[in-house]
This record gives sequence, C-alpha cells and structure tokens, in this order.
Amino acid sequence: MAKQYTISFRIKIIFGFVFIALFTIFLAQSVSQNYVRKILISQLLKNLNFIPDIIYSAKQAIQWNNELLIADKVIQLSKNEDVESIIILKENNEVYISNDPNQIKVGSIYEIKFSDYKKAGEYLVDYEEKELSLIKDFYYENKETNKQNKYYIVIKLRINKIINTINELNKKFLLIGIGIIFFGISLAIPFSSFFSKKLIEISQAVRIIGQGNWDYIIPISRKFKDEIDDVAAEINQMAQDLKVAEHLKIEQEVIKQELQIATEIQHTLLPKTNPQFENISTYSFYRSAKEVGGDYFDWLEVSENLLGIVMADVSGKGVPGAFVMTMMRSTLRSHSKNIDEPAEVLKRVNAVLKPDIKKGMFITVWYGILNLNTYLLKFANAGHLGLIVFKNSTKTIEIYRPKGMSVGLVKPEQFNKILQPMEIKLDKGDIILQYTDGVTEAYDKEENLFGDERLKNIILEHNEKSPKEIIEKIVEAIEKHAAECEQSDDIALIALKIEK
Amino acid sequence: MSEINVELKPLPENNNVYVLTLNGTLDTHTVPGFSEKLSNYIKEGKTKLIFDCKNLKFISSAGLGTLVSALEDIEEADENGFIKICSLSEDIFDIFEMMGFSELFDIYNTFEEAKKSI
Repeated sequence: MAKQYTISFRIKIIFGFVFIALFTIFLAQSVSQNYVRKILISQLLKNLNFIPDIIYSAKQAIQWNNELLIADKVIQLSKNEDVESIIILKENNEVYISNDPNQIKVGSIYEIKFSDYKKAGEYLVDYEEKELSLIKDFYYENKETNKQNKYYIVIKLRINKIINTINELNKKFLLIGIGIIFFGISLAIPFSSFFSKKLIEISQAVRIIGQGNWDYIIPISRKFKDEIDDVAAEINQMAQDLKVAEHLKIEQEVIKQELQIATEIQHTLLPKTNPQFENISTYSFYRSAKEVGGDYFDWLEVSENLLGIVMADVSGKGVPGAFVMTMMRSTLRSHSKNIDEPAEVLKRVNAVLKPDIKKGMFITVWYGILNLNTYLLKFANAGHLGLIVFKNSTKTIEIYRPKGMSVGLVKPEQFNKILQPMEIKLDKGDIILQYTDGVTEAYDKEENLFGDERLKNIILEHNEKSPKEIIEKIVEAIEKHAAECEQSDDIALIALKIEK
Repeated sequence: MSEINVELKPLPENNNVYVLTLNGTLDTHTVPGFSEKLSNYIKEGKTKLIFDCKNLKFISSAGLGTLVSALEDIEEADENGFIKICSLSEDIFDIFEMMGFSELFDIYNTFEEAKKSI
C-alpha cells in the first residue's frame, strides 16, 4: 500500500486561498502592465509635436543643400530628454543626417527592418525593452526635376520613464500581492478552522456514537446549513436508526430467550410417556408453534382404577402463558387425588386460580376421569373444545360439549352455577379424542380452516387402527393442509381407545 | 398479515353510548394494538359500549381475553357501564358459547336489538 500523507484540511484551504490570490494578482499585473504601457507610449507619441517642424527643416536643408539648416534643430532636440537620436534617411537608405552615437554616420547605409515595426497612428513604431524607435516618411519635391524623393526620419526615443513607471507599478502589485497573501491566510485560518472545527467535532462524535452513546447529537447550525451540516445530520439520523435497531435486536433477544424459557417449561410439564394398560391404549402428540402457546395435557393417576385425562389451553402465549399453565398443572394435580367428579375438581381449580390469574387471561380445560374397570367416563368442560367420541357399535362420531365457562374468567359462584357434569359409557372399540384449537384452526394457503369435519372423517376412516396411528394420520393431514403456511398455534392431541 | 379496523362512534340517540365497529380478525398480531385502544377508550370514560361484530372474521383466545378484561375494567369504573355484543357470525358465536362467554356478555343477534336493550 502506498504511504498515506495527512494534509490537514486547514492547510489545503490556505493553499487554495493563496493560489487563487496569486493567480489573480499575476493576471491583473500582466493585464494592467500592458495597458499602462500602451497608454504611456501613446501619450509619448502625442508629445512628439516637434516632428513636423524637423521635417520642415529637413526639407529646407535638402532644398538648399545645406545640412546646417537642420543640424541646428537636431542638436537642439538631442537636449530633449526623451530623444536618444535622430536619423534622416534618403530613399536608398543612405544616412543623410544622424546624431546617433552608435556609429551610424552620414553617408553610410542604414537598413530599416520594416517587419519589426507596427503602425501606431501616423508613425511606425518599434518597441523594444529599453528603446522605442519610430519612423515617419516624408516627400521632397525637387522643383527643378519635378521629381518626388522619399525620405525617412527615424527617431530613437528613451523610454526610461515608461520603464520606471511600469517598475513602480510592478512594485505596487508585489506589495498588494504580499498584502493579499497575508490577508488571505489570515482570512483562511478562521475560515478553515470553522470548517475543520466542524469536521473534528464530527469525527469525535462518530467515535462517541461508535461507543454506543446513540443519543449523542452533533450540533447543526440552523441558519446557514452547508454540506458538512448535512453530513452531521445524516450521522445524527444514523445514530437514531442504530439506536432503534439495537433496541429491536435486544427486544428480539429477550423475546427469543422468553420463548426458550416458555418452551422449556412446556416440555418439562407435558408428560413424557403415555400410560399403557392391558385393555386400553393411549397416545398424545404435541408440537409448538413459533410462538409457544399455553397448551397443556396430562394423564393423572386419580386412584388405583381411575385415570384422569386433561386437555387445556391457556389464552396467553410465551412466558405468561407458561406461568399460568404451571399454576394450573400444580393446582389440578393437587386437587384431583381421589376425587372422581371432574366438575368438582374444575370448580376447585377455578376458585384457586381466579384471584391469581392476570386480568384478560383464562384457561379452557377439559377434564375427564375414566374408570379403568367399567369404562365409565365422567367429564366436565370449562370452555374447551367438545370431546370427540367414536362409537364402535354404530360406527358414528358424537361430539359432547357440556356447558362450562373457562377457568379464571369469573368468580366461583358464576362458574359453579354454569359448569355441568356429564358421563358416558365407553365400550370395546370406542375411541375418544381431545385436542386444542391449533388442530382445527390450522390454515391453508387460501385461509381455509382444517375444521372438525376433516378430523371426524380421519377417525371414521381409521377407527380400526391404534390411537398412535390415528393421531399420526391427523398430523399428516394437518401438515398436508397447512403446507407452505407457518403453523400459527400449538397443536396438541390425545387419544384413547378401548381395545378389549 | 391480518388486521383489525376499529371504528368508534357515539350512538346518535344517546351520546353516552359508543358503537365500536370491528372489521377484520382479532388474532396474535392484532390483539395487542386492539387491547391498548380499548383500554384507552375506557380510561377516557367510554364505559357503555356496543361491539358491532358483523365484519369480525375471527377471534383468538387472546382476543376473548381482551374483551373480558375490558368488561372487568368497565365494571370497576362505572357500575352502569356495559359491553353489548351484536351481529356475531355463527362460528364466533359458537366459540363464545363454548368458552362460556355467552354467560358473561350480553349478546344480541342484531344491532337494533342491542340498541333497544339500552
């Protein structure tokens, strides 16, 4: 990797300022220098009012063939501080008059390089670094021969003054330039520190936010917002979003943990095995949904020949549901010993649980007691689904649903008044099935419920088989029905069959 | 996703009675929001409620629980308060009856009957 150099934002801004300032000065200097020079030269040329006079004298000298007539003027002019020298040339470039100190002597040939000259007004001008020469042509008509002869007058001027003026100007520019650089730097420093202060603030804020202080807010100027403020605003927003995301994550974590606790409770409390008897076979099935519900079933040893059967559903899910389910199980287990009336047990359970159950929560409980010798089944139903009974003698299915309110809803007076006991006699080949609403309320893709008709038909079709096989068929059918749909509620099923 | 729309309007004949029209399903997803709304209404002193359930498609046990706790809140807040439920679908009425809720709430076949009973 290439080495990285850190150049602070401040230095970059200062360099930028200085560069722009210098560039501007340089441009202004060269433009104004040319402009000033042009003006000064044109002024100088305007002041050359002696030229017509000297041309007049030259013509006289030519006419009288007497150089002295002009030499006097030339000498006089050479005292003019602007004039360096004057040369008058004949058409054939022969020097007629010269006071040039550089060996341009009268009678010699002096070639004019016209290409060096530019037209400036009525003169041709050649401007060099230190010298300005101008040429003007004039004609002398020889009256004897009637011939026009062309002459040139070349005047070399001193331009020290112009050079000095321009040098003065450049000096001023230099001073202004230095001034601007200092001014620029002194302006750039607070300006850049204004920005770099913000940037430093932002980088500190990002560090602070990164440590988990999501509520840290970078101050933003309200009136004059710039891109840095936009960045700050974005970061503030990001911190808020991160905060929400983290809370969500924690919440989800808590829910996940809660779910695990509820699942563990449920698994601990549900029976691990099903009781087996010589003449009676039993089976149970439980599968939790994503959100663990409060399904509960149990086999209880009420007495030597009485089997208690429980199927219940707590209205709450998760930990609260599991908690109520735990209370319910303990109460039921401790109050069911040696009592052969299910309705009595449920009345006691309601009386115990009602004051302790959170408002809005309740439990639907079906409780049956089967005499293992006589096959008499007594049961009571506190708001739970009806008991499905397959009668082998008629090959029909009956649903028994004696009246009863859910446990935990109302005070004992009302609960006891409504709860009705019921009993049926089972015979060889009869099957009973209890379940929770997760079974019949399993949805398919078109939101059709599984329903109890399907349930009944499966039992009718497979009544020859064992409770295990029948429940497996039911589960299979539910899976087929709810294929591709998430299981929304717990599924619990228990079945019992009189084999002999 | 399931949803429930709740519309609250005072009864034109009696401004103390509010009609809550439920539209949708009351299940695991919708019950928490519904429950909060309902308890806010009761806190605002709206303790005489008629639930019009003509368009209620499904109610879970948690939804029923919400109704029970609302009823208990109302009985605590106002001894003349009530919840009347009308126009339940056959399926939902069966659930109400099975769980013993028909003993707890005043249930009417139609809205008109519920109104008359006030």
